[in-house]
Amino acid sequence: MVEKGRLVLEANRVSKKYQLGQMSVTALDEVSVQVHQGEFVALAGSSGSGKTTLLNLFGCLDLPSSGEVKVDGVSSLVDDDNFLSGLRATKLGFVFQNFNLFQVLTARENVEYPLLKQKVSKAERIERALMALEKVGLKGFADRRPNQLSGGQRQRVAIARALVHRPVIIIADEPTASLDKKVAVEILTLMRELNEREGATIVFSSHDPTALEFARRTVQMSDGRVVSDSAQGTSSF
Amino acid sequence: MLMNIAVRNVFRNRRRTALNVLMIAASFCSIVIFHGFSHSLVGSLEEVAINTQFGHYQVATQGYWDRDPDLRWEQKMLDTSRPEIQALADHPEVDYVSGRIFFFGLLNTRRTSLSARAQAFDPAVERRLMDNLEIVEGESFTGENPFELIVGLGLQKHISGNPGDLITLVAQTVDGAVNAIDLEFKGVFATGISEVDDSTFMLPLQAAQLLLDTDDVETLVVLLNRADVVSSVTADLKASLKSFPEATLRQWRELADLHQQVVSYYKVQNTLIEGILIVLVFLAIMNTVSMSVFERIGEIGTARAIGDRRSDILIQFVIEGFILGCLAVVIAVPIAALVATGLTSLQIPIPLPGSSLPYLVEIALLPSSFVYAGLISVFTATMGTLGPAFRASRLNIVEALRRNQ
Repeated sequence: MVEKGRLVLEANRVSKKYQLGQMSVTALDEVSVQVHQGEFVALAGSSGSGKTTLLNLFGCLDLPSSGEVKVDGVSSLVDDDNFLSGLRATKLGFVFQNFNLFQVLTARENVEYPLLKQKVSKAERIERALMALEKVGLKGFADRRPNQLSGGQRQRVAIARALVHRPVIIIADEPTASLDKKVAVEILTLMRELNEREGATIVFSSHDPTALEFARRTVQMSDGRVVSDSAQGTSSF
Repeated sequence: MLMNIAVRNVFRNRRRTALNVLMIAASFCSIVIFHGFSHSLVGSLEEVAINTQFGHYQVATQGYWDRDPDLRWEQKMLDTSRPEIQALADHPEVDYVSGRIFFFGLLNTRRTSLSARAQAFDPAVERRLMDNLEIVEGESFTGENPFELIVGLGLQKHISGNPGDLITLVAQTVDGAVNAIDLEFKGVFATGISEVDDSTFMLPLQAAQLLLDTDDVETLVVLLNRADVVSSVTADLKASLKSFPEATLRQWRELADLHQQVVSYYKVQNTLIEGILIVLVFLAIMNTVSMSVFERIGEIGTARAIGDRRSDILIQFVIEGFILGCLAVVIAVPIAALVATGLTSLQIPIPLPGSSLPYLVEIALLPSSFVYAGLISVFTATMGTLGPAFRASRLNIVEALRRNQ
């Protein structure tokens, strides 16, 4: 049996409701999920199942209507935007479906960006950014702008950006949805390697069955609820 | 790196940046040119007022300036033989002190008689007045004969006389008796001030004193070597007259009401034009940054997601506005200097209210105007970003991130 690391992410009976005109829509309904250090978790489910909403709550980008999310033991139920920004800057790394790189910055500068929020010298910023790019196999592309990179390379830069500041957890929302199948496999392999080699804790969402095969644990969602939670093919429900 | 990012964002949409830079630069140039124009114009009016009318100071008896109706003319006259007057003239900053008398007299030619205002002064001493009198017909005082007369351009049209004619001037002496002298009409002058040119004739002080039967003068005009010492020597000059209590000394600005009104008018006009330009730049920048915010909503969402605080977003846009302002100023400085120099060299004549001569446009290149216009431009460009930047910083992160999809 694999020994679990410390608890780094937890959602306790979390609900999220949106008001659409007169109608109240429940995007998440009392979801509870725990993620431990070193896990590589996939949130699976069809469109509208609540994967992205749950990731947004995990990433402290949004607040739950009820329940509580804790990142590395710290609750996100704080009415202080600067505190939440600090939490995201230090404990979380993000990878987005459309890469979301800053077009005016080079690959290295994009990777450096999260380090600007921390008191890191310029020399160290550059060194760490280059190391992160090396980890994702893009050291030779450091001075290229996003529009000079392929989709797969852009996503690698985004992954380097997500891990450069050594976050507690990396959150990836549909990281392969904008890539072709071959490149998607390369990115998932890289993420898996980072999880195994670097011990990076990764939670990603996907509706692609191929992507889910890479995960060591899959949380299946439907209609805003967790319908199954299985590790290495073993369902916990 | 923040600055680096801001610079790159500014140049992201080059056409829009160029339009904004052009707008700010145009407003910068307008402020510099308008300031330079007003400064030159006010300076010219000051120079004319000092040299042809007021000097830097005037000395007169107590009550002279107040036009006291109970004061007899002889009581308004100053004794120029007083040692205090000599002390005044001996001050190292004083160029010269010269007496003047103003009175009304009847000018008689063969065909007409016309009452006009006489200004009597010493042409040999009052060099600056002589230099600033433009003789438009005939000639000026020769200095050889005190019984000469020159007439204002507007007045000449009414007296039916020409240079070379003999004119009889009739006036009351200071004691009230009637007296007359014959003067040779030498020429026609223009000071540039219609008020003066339409009603005044000039004659040497010596002839006027003979006509009015007095050795005294009404006022003493004090001219300094340099205009910039006016405020610093006032106390010294007043001290020179301490033992002459009948005499009072006034700075020219205290006497030049019209000039003060003109200066105030230009100040108001400057402020109004600056205000309009500032509003235009402010709106242009606000519009640009609003467009930029709209285009970069997804990017703002990403920056917020990876840890930027609201204040970081706000600062980022404000820095961009600041850079835009600085860039425009750097470009505008040589343009403003070139345009100002070009306009001055064209010597464009413009009519001025109250002036009998056209004024040739001159744009002074004032370092203070460049600094002022620069500060105003950068400040306005920076402030123009605040509204949209604030809205950008308050964007909902999740909604902003959706823009990337």
